[in-house]
Amino acid sequence: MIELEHVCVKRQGRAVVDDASFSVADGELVALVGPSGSGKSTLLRAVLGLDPPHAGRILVGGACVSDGKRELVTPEARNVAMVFQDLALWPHMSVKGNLEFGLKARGHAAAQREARVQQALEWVSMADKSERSPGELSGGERQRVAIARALVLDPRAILLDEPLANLDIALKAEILAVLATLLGERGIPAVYVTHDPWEAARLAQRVAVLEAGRVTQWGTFEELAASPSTSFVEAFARAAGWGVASGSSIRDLPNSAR
Amino acid sequence: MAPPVDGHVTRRHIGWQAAMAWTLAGGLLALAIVPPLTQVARGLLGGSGQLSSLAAPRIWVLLGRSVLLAGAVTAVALVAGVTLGVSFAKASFPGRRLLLALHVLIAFLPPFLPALGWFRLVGRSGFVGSESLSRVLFSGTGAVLVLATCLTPIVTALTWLGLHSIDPSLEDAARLVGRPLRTVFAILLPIASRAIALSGLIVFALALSELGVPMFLRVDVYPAVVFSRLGGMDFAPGEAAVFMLPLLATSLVLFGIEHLWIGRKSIASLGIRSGERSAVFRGRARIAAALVAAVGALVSVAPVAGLAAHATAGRGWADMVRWAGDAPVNTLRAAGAAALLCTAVAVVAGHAAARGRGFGRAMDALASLGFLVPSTIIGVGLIATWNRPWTAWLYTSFGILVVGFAAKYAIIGCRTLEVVIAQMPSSLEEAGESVGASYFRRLWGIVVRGNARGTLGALTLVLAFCMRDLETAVLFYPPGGEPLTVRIFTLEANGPPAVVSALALLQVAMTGAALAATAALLHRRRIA
Amino acid sequence: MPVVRCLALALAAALAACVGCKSRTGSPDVVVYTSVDQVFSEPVFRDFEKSSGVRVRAVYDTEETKSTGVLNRLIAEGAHPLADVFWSGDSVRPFQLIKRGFVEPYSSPAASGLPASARAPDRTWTGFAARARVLIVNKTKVAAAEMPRSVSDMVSPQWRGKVAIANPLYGTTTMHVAALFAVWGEDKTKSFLNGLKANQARIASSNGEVKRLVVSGEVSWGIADTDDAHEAQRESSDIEVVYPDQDGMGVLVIPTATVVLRGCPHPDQAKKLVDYLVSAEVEQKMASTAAHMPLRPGVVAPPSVRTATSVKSMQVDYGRVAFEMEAQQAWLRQWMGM
Repeated sequence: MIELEHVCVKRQGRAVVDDASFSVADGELVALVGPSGSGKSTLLRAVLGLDPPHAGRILVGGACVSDGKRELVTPEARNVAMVFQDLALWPHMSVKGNLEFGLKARGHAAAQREARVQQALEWVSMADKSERSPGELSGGERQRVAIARALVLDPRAILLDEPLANLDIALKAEILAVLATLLGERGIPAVYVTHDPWEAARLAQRVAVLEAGRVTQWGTFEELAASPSTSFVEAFARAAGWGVASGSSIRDLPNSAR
Repeated sequence: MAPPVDGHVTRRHIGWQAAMAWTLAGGLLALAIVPPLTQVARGLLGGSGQLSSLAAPRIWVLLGRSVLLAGAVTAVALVAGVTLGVSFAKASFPGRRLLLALHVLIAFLPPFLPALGWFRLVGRSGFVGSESLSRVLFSGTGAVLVLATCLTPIVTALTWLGLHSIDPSLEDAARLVGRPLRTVFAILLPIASRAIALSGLIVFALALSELGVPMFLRVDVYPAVVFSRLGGMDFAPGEAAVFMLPLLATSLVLFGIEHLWIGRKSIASLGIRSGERSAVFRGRARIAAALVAAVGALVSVAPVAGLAAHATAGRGWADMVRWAGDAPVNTLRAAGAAALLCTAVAVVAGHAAARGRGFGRAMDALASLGFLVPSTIIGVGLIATWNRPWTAWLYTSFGILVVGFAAKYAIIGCRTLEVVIAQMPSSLEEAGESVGASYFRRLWGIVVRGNARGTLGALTLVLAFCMRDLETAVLFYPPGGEPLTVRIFTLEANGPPAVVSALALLQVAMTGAALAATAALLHRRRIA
Repeated sequence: MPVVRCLALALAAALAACVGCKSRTGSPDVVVYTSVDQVFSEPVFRDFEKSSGVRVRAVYDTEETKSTGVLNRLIAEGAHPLADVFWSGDSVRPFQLIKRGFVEPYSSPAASGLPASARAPDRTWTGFAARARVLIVNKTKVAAAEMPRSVSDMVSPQWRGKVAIANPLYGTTTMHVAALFAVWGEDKTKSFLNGLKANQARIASSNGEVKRLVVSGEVSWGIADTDDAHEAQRESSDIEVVYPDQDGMGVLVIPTATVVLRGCPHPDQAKKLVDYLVSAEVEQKMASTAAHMPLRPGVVAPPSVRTATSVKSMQVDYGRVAFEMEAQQAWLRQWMGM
């Protein structure tokens, strides 16, 4: 469970996120959509603990991690995973090294690390490439490694910041299927930032719309389509073609990638 | 996004304009660097009968001591500079920019000025001096510490740049799972390791070349012996050239390390990416980082403050202008002309290197050789090359200083512009080409004007390095045309001490003014 | 675009500077290299400029290069001298140029007042304003009755561990030791030097360091130059200066010396400058500002500076000293453990 209550983040005195509230239940995936510069990435960074909010509360798994005055839990102790837009695979480490780093930081023994890394790589069908360096992988393979790195720590929540933005449509569908399956099986709450209405429609149960730092609408696809509160929401809903995706959930997606 | 380091490797047509520019730039650079080295090599061949001089154990002890000194300076500078670079780059605290500027300024001064400043502070009759402190100062340890404080900012700056050029999400990804220190040591520093290694190499090369500080602190080093072997009672050019052999070998090893291991990529990837970045260190760690930064700034400022206090206490200011003579003008004239020449060459060479042209790489290799070969060798070679009746017009004018500075410091301009230009997509130039712009028009209109800030930055860096030079200029400055550093060095012997301190501050002020003017100009443009 | 404009401005300024510097070639120049401290030599040159209208362009030496810097350069520039005149801080180093044939003989009419010993018979060099090798004594450590009177006292057991001399590989100490080789002969000098070691004499890095050791009382007395002695007396009232061997071989006097370079670019101005340098006026000036001993009788020196005529000086041939300096170099290096 991720809960945001009246979260406000300022940068150089200007509110980038203003009074944002919504929640993500366990096993649920919320699409965070909005125009460029609306504060989506900043909001994710606040949840991660990288950009402390100036007001409001953030709860992860029921525990308050930030109360707007102080950061109660440091980023590394929140156990919230993130898949970055540019994937952020550490170039000087092998695939295995990328996955192991977090486990080492948490003091896992070598045998245990080995097993978990192997397992996580199997989830994304990358077990045979553990010794490669990120530079030697294709775009789709790198994407899979990034997802495995996020999941190997068994996170309490996962945030995805446009992770598929740079992929072609066939690869996108494939990775989306992998992602949907993995998240669905684990019941991890997830926030998925995207510009792509099609992606949002295929993955998410609910949508949070962020415009100029404010959550202008929050609800299921039907609710958004039925009474769009802004012209952005209206355009987004139309582009997504709600009729097709309406009511679909990640569990309904084909398991073609498995 | 990885910077287009290797650029376009496809063979492209070279127009006559590019060919002309390359010939001119390459010719100038080669003219500055190749003849002196050839002259020294000829001396070596002539002196090959005296190779037995190298059998003297004393020579190897001295060389060992020099390498050890440079190695110790590098080690101290790396530890201190990386700590400082991380503190400055990864924590946010008030006054950070000012502290960084104060910390870095000392690297743009000839190291014997801070040595003089420390002497005024902790020397026998210094403000907080004592017999034991003075003994430490005038020892190998003192020389290591003084040189390390002077050269540490180079490590700080390159570490800072290296950290800033890391994709911020790599850091964020690490922070989600690891503590700040683990993030720094396991993720950030390894990614910045090439930049840090390069800074270590620069520090080592400068420390090995350094004459002023070891001589002032009465520490025998190898280059000084080569220097004194050239004359005095046992003058023997062949022998002196033989003594240069180990130094040349050392610099070739450095050159090999730089080109094969560290590589041009180390610096070519050093672009400051825009965008906000968060601080890794918060809370108590942030206070610690601020303290580290303050100590870094204080250590750099202390010797300058020592000089200022000494100059004031001894009423050195009144006579400063008289004793300065023409030296400030000589400095500005020679350093300014060299900076312009080097920048012009660097625009052509750096551009070619950034676009993956073989010519650019060759120029880079040549210029880095000029930098890594100790100044003594370059200086002796320059005298042998240019002191001829038909080149007297150059040898007797400030032009010889320009040639010497260019040989030594062209690499700074070339590398800086290579980095800057590599950050600019080559499609911008291709767009110019597609509408029929000639090479020169593209070079000026797109490359230089499009990177005006970077070009100005390169110019200022070369200027500052030429202004701080002592080792090269002291060997062949034209009569009556000595730069201020040389004048301070020659006056330091028995000159009025307070005036010498005041002159040293004049040097600090001139360098500071040049850097501040550039910073102000760059800052204004950033706001605009 | 202001940055581009600034680049263009800088270019224009540099061009202007280049043009500007060429316009100064109108007045006649003379080029002098000197190993006399800049702080003393430069004012002399400025005075010459004023009185002659000839511009002096100088290259100065540094303490750190132990007076070999400009000499190196003169030798390196060798057959194509850039310098017209070399004003050496001593009368020994010019022989490095003389023996290479780089010197143009010149006997200045202005040198007529100088003693014959200060003028080379072959007219290659002219000596004037000198330094002498004296004993600097700390009176709080040495009773009046025990005052050392000779250089040889350094090896007396009475002063075991209490005397200092600078490294004989450098500076005027090299010349002093070479002069001893010339006067005493090889065996006596070597046994004196070995005696120094046995007597635990401090081998300081420079004459300045000897002065400091004596002033601070770390040693009782030491050997250094008259200008160091002068400094020492200014720093402390407990310092006594002894001119050694006044009843024996005499004190070593080392004049500064001028030579004119063969094939120099400005021979006429060179002679003018030499005429000025060896004049009584400059000897007077060097005595009052730099505590150098005037060689001429009749030049009035400050009370703390003795004139050459008032002391008994060692009879040496500076050419022979130069020879010994070179000949004994290897042995001295070995003696120093280098």
